[in-house]
Amino acid sequence: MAMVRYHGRLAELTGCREESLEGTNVTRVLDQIKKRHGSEAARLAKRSHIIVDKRSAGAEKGFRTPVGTDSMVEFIPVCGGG
Amino acid sequence: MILPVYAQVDLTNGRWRKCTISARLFEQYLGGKALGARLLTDLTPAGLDPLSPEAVLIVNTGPMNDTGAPSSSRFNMTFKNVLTGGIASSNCGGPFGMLLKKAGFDGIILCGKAPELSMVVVEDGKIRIEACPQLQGLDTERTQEELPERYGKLVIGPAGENGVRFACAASGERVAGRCGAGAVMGSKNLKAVIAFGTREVVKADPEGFEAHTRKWVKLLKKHPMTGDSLPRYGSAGLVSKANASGVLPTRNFTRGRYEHYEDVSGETLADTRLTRNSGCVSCPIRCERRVKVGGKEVKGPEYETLGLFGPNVENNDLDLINELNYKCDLLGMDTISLAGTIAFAMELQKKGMGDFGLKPDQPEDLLRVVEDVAYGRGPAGELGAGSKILSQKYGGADFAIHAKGLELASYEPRKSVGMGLGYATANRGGCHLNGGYLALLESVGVISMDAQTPKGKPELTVFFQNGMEAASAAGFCLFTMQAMIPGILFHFGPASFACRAAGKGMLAARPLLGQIWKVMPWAMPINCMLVPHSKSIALATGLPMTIGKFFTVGERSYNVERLYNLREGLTAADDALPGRLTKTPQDPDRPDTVVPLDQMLPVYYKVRGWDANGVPTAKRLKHLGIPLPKEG
Amino acid sequence: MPYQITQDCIGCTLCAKNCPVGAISGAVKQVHTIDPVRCTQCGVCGRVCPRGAIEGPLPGLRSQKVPKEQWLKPHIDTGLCTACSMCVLACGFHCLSISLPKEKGDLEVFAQLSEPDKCVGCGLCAKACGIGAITMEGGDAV
Repeated sequence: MAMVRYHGRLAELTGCREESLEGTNVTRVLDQIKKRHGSEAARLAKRSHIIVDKRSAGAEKGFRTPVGTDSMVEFIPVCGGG
Repeated sequence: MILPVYAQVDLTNGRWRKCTISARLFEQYLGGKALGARLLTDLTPAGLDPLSPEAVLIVNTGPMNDTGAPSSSRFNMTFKNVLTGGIASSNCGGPFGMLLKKAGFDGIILCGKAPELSMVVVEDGKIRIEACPQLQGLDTERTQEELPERYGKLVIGPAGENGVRFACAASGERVAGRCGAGAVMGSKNLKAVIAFGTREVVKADPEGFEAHTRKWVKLLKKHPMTGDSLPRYGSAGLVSKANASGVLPTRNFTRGRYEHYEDVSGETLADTRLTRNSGCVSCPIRCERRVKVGGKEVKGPEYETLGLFGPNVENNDLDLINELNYKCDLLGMDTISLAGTIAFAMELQKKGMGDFGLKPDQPEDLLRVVEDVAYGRGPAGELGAGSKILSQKYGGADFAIHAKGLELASYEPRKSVGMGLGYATANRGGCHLNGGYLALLESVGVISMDAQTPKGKPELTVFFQNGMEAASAAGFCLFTMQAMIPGILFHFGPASFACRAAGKGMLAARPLLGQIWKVMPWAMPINCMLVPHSKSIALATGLPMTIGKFFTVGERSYNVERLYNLREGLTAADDALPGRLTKTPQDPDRPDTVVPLDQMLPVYYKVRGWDANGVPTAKRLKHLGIPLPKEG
Repeated sequence: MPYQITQDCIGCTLCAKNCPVGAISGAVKQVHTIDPVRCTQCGVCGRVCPRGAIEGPLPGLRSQKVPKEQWLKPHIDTGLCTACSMCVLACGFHCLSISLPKEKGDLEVFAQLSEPDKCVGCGLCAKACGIGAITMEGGDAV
């Protein structure tokens, strides 16, 4: 079971900041989010910065980035600014 | 074509005269910081003290101010940089710029020094100077309350009057923060400039302009960044990703992650403190935060303030940051430079190299420190000189986090090396925006780009520096440029193939980006909605503006600013960062987590068409239509 | 041509009080004057003048008093409005404001005529709007 943390609107939508989810890679974790919290939450999660064990999935293997049983997966909203 | 009208005001004797900018200068520089740099170069001799009466302060607008175009309230202040000795341009979204234009002037050029504390009143095409001893010592909010309602106001607080070198100028709740605009005003005994009038901006093609503006506004509203995340989280929303990427400056830039980052993140701010979002006049994006301080609704902190008054001074008290932010605005100080200087002084003190009476373990003491700096009181009063001067006196140049003398913004560049190059080369000093803001591509934005490789970063830096320079010159907010990143990428998500390919593709396109400058006006002789700015300028002014010409305005401006810096004695050796960022890896076990400046700078100079010493070549200047600087 | 005040003025100050840009000056019971540079030709002075003493925008065209309920009022198209506040800044009487979010995180806010009683129907707000989201409607005044 990987630990999943939600930030921002996703935390509001799922009603929790943290939970444990099954999944060996990011796509599987997203599937679990869809199952548990619906497609809107999954859509928002997919559009977030996905951080697996402090590394950005975008800089690793994207949605195929592996997730271990004691991994921490974070979903951070994409923001802009300057 | 309607040409910009400026006023030259001599504060010493109260005389003023009108002057019109030539069509050639208007087309080449548009206005704002670009025209400001040209005028400052032409109007001042080399080697002036930025705080002397002879120094010139230009407050001007761009052609887009007050046209109704999106996010077009930004006006500019250009002067000799108090902190770096080079060029300074500081940009503000308050209502002053629009009202200056309504009052009949596109810009005012101030020189001399008023015999007593005074204000300049600009009304219906006329200017007068009034003594205002009653405003002495008042904060920026009270000062504006005392001044006549409905006027556009540009004022300084006690810090500006007291000569704090990073004092800012305020208009409404927005500030022209960086480079010491407030100190320059203070040195001229100028407490305020106020403006009112009813002149209308006459557009070349009013119907076409309105149709284009509608289309553009719709685009900004639909874009995931400018239409959702900026209004929802503001720039504050960057804290979490900055932390995850290791670019959140912590303990005076010793690290890039902060264990308590969630206490000061944009999500926490939006969730627990935000009353609503707001914005500068004319802006559909509305990224401004509104928070309560002492029961009163005031402007909330930007990402920079959160990072530098948070992790960088080891403070995780969000309410305290909100209060510090408000206090800095009231006293009239730049939060970036002040917080950066405090973090540096804390480290000096910790290492026993100086004692400034700081209490790093008691964050709430910062409120006292901020006041002491503004009023030059006690040992903390010395901080008003800025990091560079402090490091000359007490040592510690390796960890005095500034470039050319201007403190760095809240992006730790060792995990975003292109941002590091930007800081080092930015004409006004360590500024993320003037520096090209590659952090958005490398570490905090939707595109997933290799943040450590030096390859391709110089080319991209030049591209974005020029683009942002041009947007500023026209009077647009830089955030309108963020909609250049295709909205579709946000729908796919940063972990998607598209976003990862975009990052790789931009780096791979470096030979093209490196060459395109040589032919820019001809390479993009078009207008399209990817960069809606150029068409908007064309429709409003009647200038034959295209995307290519728009970027060329930016490049021209960047070169003029560079020439000014060189004239004032800055050299390639000043395109530097403190040793901590270039020599000490952020991750001790990853030697590539430094800023490889020595690898990027030569390429950067080459792409810019400068010689190995960072001096623009005669060929390049001729191409851009810039007169060669006079010898000696 | 900017508006002018004729010798029929009785100095009642109504025009000066209602001018949205402060273009009219004069003492009580004395003939008032309009600053031609400041005047935006909105016609508000003519609509309030009890003596028809305002001339403009054409030479010789004398004003007629119009009852307040017939003055035009701004109508805001919320499908277009982005709450950019250009109109709020333009209004001389603080009649307009940006609506408050309905709930936390609500980004759908718009300009609204929050003080209709103070509105003089000058139309400066409509002029300031860059996207034509404001139209002046209601009443039958010209």
